[in-house]
Amino acid sequence: MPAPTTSPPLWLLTASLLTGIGLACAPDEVKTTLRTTVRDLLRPGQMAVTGGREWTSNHYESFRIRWLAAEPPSGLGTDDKIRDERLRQLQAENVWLREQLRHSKSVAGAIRSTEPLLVPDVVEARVLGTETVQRLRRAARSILGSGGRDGIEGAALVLAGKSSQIDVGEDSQLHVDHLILAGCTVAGKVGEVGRYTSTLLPITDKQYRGLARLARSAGSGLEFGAEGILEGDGGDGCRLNFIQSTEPVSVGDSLYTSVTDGSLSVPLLYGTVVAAELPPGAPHWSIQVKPAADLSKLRRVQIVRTQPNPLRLNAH
Amino acid sequence: MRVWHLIVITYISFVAQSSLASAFEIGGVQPNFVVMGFLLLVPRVSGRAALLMAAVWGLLSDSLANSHAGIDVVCFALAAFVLWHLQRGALGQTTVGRILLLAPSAFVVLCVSRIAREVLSGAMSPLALMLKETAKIAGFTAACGALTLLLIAFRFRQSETTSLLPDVRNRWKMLTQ
Repeated sequence: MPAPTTSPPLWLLTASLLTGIGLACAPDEVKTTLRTTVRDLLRPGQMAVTGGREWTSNHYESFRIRWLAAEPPSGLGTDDKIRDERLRQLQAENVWLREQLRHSKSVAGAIRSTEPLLVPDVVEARVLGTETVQRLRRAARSILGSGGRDGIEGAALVLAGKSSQIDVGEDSQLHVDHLILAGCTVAGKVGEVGRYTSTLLPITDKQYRGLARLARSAGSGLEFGAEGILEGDGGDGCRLNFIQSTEPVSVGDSLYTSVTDGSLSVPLLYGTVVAAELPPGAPHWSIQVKPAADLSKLRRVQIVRTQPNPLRLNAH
Repeated sequence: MRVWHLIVITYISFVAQSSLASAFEIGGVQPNFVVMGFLLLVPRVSGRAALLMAAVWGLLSDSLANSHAGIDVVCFALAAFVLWHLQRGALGQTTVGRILLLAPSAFVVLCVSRIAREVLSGAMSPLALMLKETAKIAGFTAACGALTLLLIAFRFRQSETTSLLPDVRNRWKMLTQ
């Protein structure tokens, strides 16, 4: 079939150019609404593609082992990862228990401590893909498969998915929500929220900011140190700012979220200090942090949202 | 080409770009399925349809970007206008000619879009580095587009050959009569 020969009219070209310029000058709310609408429309196709990739990946591995007599993957790396996760989970639970003990000792007599009004809850979301256009050397932000319909709000913490199931003992006295969150690594925050999708602002993004505390392992668990502001460097790492020069900092220290930031009472892991310099005469340390979460391999994440405490609601 | 064909190809291109492009990454370079689909479709539609399609694709591409909106609407519209006329020339009459036009077209579209975004953001990366990175992406995109064009050309040639073969039933009927 021969190609159509009607030439493009100049008035339509002018209208298109004016539309582009108009869109560039439009208010941010209009641009945000347009972006979230387009992402929501693409969600069904993206869910089909990511579901297909997961199914193919899972079945290919079992096919290789069963029919091609391939060696099963060595469990060493996986076992180490599970052990590290369990260690972080126990350390975080330890911190929470010590806080509870300290608080109960400070309350006199038979006065019972009040339950918090809001408690955290998690929503699991699949990573559907990434944004299509990015500037040079800027990582594209991921698109998540949950949005406002699931109660997701902007700036909610996003945690990397766990590699192992949580072992909840029947005699555990801890809240289930804290067990879910304890030991998790922070991948970033929710950026733009649509009805069915949202975007992930990774901790390495230049726009990311969060309160963070230094910590190191001691005999009795985690010893927390100075608190600062974590921000992304726009590449693969982060910087921890506003740590006074008088505070002790060393390479290998861990970085956790501050429990005073929001409704969370368990610290979540940001990453590890990989470089710490104190220029002569400088008031603050220059600290480089390597994220604990592998942001390039995220397939599923957990989004932290707050909800009213059922115990407080039932008490009335 | 019918309207619903365009709608389906549009949806598939953008889903592929956002969800599948990372699976095709080689040496840190990913193809751009949106630009590839756009460059392959423009010569196959009328001029008016090409500009409308460019505006819609540019709008969708801007919506999936994490930087300034409106840039891709302008880039795609201009690219559609120029490319439509180029494809009507001598180069656009053969499959080889169309393939040769792919790489420079992809490079120009991607370059203009990236440079505009960098300038508007106020933090310009080194131009040489930007051109080099864009050339890699444009090359990969053009290679994917060339493969698609060759497959389409091969498929159409096969269907033409099949239709030229004589119908055996007619021949038998002619012999027996």
